[in-house]
Amino acid sequence: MTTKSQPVAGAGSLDRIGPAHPVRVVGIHGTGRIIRRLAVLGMVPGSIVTVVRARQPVLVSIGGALLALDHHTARSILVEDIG
Amino acid sequence: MKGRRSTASCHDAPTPPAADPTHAVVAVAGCPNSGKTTLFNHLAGERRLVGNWPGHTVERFEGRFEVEGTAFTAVDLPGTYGLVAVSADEEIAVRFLLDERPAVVVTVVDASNLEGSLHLAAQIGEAGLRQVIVLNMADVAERRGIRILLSQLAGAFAADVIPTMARRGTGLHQVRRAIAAAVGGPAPPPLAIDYGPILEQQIDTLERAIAAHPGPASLAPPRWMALQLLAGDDGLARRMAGTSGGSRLMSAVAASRTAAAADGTGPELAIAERRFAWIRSLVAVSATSAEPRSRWRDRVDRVLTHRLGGLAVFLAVMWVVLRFATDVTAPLVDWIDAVVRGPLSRWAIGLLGLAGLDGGWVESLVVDGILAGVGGVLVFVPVLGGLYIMLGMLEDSGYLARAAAVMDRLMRAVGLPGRAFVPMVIGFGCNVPAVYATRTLDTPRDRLLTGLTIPFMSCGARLPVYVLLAGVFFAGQAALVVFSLYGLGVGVAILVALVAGRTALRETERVPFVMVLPDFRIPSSRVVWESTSQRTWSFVRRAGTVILGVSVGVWLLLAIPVGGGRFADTDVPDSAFGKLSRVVSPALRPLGLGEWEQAGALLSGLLAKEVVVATTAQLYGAEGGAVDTTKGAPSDFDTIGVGFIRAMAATVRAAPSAFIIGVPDFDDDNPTALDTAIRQSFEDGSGGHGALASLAFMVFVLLYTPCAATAAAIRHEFGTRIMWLSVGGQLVIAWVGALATYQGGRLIGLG
Repeated sequence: MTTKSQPVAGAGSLDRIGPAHPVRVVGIHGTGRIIRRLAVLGMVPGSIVTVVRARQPVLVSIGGALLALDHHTARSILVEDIG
Repeated sequence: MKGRRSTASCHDAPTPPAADPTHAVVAVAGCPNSGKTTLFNHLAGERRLVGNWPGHTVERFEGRFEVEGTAFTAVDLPGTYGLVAVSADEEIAVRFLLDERPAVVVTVVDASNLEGSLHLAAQIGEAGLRQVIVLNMADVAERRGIRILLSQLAGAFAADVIPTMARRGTGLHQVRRAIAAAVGGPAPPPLAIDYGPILEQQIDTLERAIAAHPGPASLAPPRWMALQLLAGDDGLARRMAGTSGGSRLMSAVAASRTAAAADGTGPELAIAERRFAWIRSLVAVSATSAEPRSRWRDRVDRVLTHRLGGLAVFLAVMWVVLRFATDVTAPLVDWIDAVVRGPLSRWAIGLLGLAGLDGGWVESLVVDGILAGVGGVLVFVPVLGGLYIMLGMLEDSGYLARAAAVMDRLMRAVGLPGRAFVPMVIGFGCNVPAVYATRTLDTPRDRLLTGLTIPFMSCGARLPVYVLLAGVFFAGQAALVVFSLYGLGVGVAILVALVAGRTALRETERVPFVMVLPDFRIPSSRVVWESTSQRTWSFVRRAGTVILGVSVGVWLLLAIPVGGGRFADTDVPDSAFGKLSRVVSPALRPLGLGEWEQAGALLSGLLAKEVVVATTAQLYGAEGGAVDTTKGAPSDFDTIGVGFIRAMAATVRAAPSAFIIGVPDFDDDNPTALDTAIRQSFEDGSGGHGALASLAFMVFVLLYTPCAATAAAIRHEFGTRIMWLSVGGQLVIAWVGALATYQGGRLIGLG
């Protein structure tokens, strides 16, 4: 099943974000498996994450944890700038 | 061992949680890598191995402990981030918590990452389970400047919250007391999180449907079941669907899921969003935020996960591991060899002489059977010890998850998920836990495909064969030969994955690579020592059981005359073993392995790879040279005592050479009688291409069935048909691989 998040102005996918630049997650689109894997790790709308490494494997710090993601998964995470 | 293993899988009926129903069951749950096993070991006085990579524990494991005279059963569960399982190991943890409903759940939370790890605690609270929350790694949290108000957390969860440092053993006394108090105390009300109007309305609808459900009553709170079904817990849904009136309930669930998704966000994401919002607001009032990650750490992680840099680092790490295991430990191997052949054999013969048993078949059994076979394997204990020290350090450092992240792209290119890299590296130590570690993978297809490749990962038991033969034919280059063999094993695994993954096991669904990278740390000497000593000891124990049994069996077959001769006094080629090996031998002739001894060694190696070494030592030892009876040999004291000191000194001197490429400057030791016999046999069997034939032999050993235990593990995880497919496939691949090595080598004019 596919879950689309609502379109948010100024939002982009996580794979387009440069390192050391905190952003807020606004949605995840993808299969139920991607959503489940990410959601239990706190990758849900409202979370603040920082990209540590922008290229494959994408490294993202979230809370006190460091996540490694493949490019495809990073692309399914929608984020927005926090001013 | 006090603990009882209960492997819950689709092939076994679930085992009851405790043999003694009067013992309250205490489950240890938590996120992967949060220190559950360390805590469990302290609680139950067990010595289970721990690992700094997610998915170390893939089955539940039970132990016992007492608090002030009351006995408890402790259950160590595989790690999980939440109560909706995705992989098979998570399923084991989730089903245990929800179906067995333990008296108390000890929820291990990473104090340095509260936001991420309180999710499981929140779900356990919502399920109405009694819990004691352990804030592990309190020291790491403190170092990062995180200060936690315990009373705030305790109030929110209605549970005791105890900071610990499980690796150092602090705070455990309080954990025990809290467990005892929780078992005796009243059940807390289920944790209530507000999910907002849309979800709450659906939760309410489902709660009423569940209350009206005519099926068997459940102990779980109805609100929680409604939430779980809304979030898409397939396991629970399947079970409810099977009860009477289940289909009506399921259509209600489907309707609610659709209604909840009306605003565009699916219920699983919306529920997680609200739950994490609750956690974030709790963490905001109960903990100070961490200092930002150090730039230095980020930089190291960027290098280690770099596409080329990370790959180079991994190859260099594996080189050092193998170099350490093969070259650096060589002086110790020589020392044990000298002790077994010299003093030990002489003493054994002397003792038999005192008992009046010398010169007969008993002496033959002891010297040619047991000492040659078991001794021939025990010689390699330092090699295995070296390998296990290095793998132990690798596992405890947190490096494996990073290596898996680098490999994801390559692995995916051949059809394997990146996470499969972790079980594959574990396979370098031993294939059996590696097969079980495939449970951490997401889909049955990924698990099976990875399980089929694991036997090609060269395990510790294969190392003695390489070290023995490379020592004879490639002196000084042993590490290079061994490294190439490991590489070949990985290459064949990739080929198998490519072929199987493109044909019978086609990818049907893209599995995301999502992995939490554990903190990098200096390996703890205690953890490394514990894992090295346990694994090495298990190798020694196998030498004393499996290898001993096979050695005696091979000796018996060697002693039984076929067509003339007396028992224990037959010519080796006329023995039952000789005849049996001769039947197999023609099949190996194209591989340059024309001598029946080689066929015999490979035949017995079907049981376990160390046996190849034991049988080789027995067969060639029987042709003279098992006991060192040279005149003017050093005294026993010199051999054992002085020899050991010399060997240790040489090992310590050689240790730095593990980090360089090139030949370490060892004294060229003289070939032993066994070395000479092996060389002669390989030259004879191949018509003068001994070195090439030995390479073909090593390739065969690398690729064919690792051991009976691995075959059993594959059967346990994937069924009998897959086991036979795997064993048969490995035999064919080994034969083809050895053929290509030998004939290919001859074609290009090697050997």
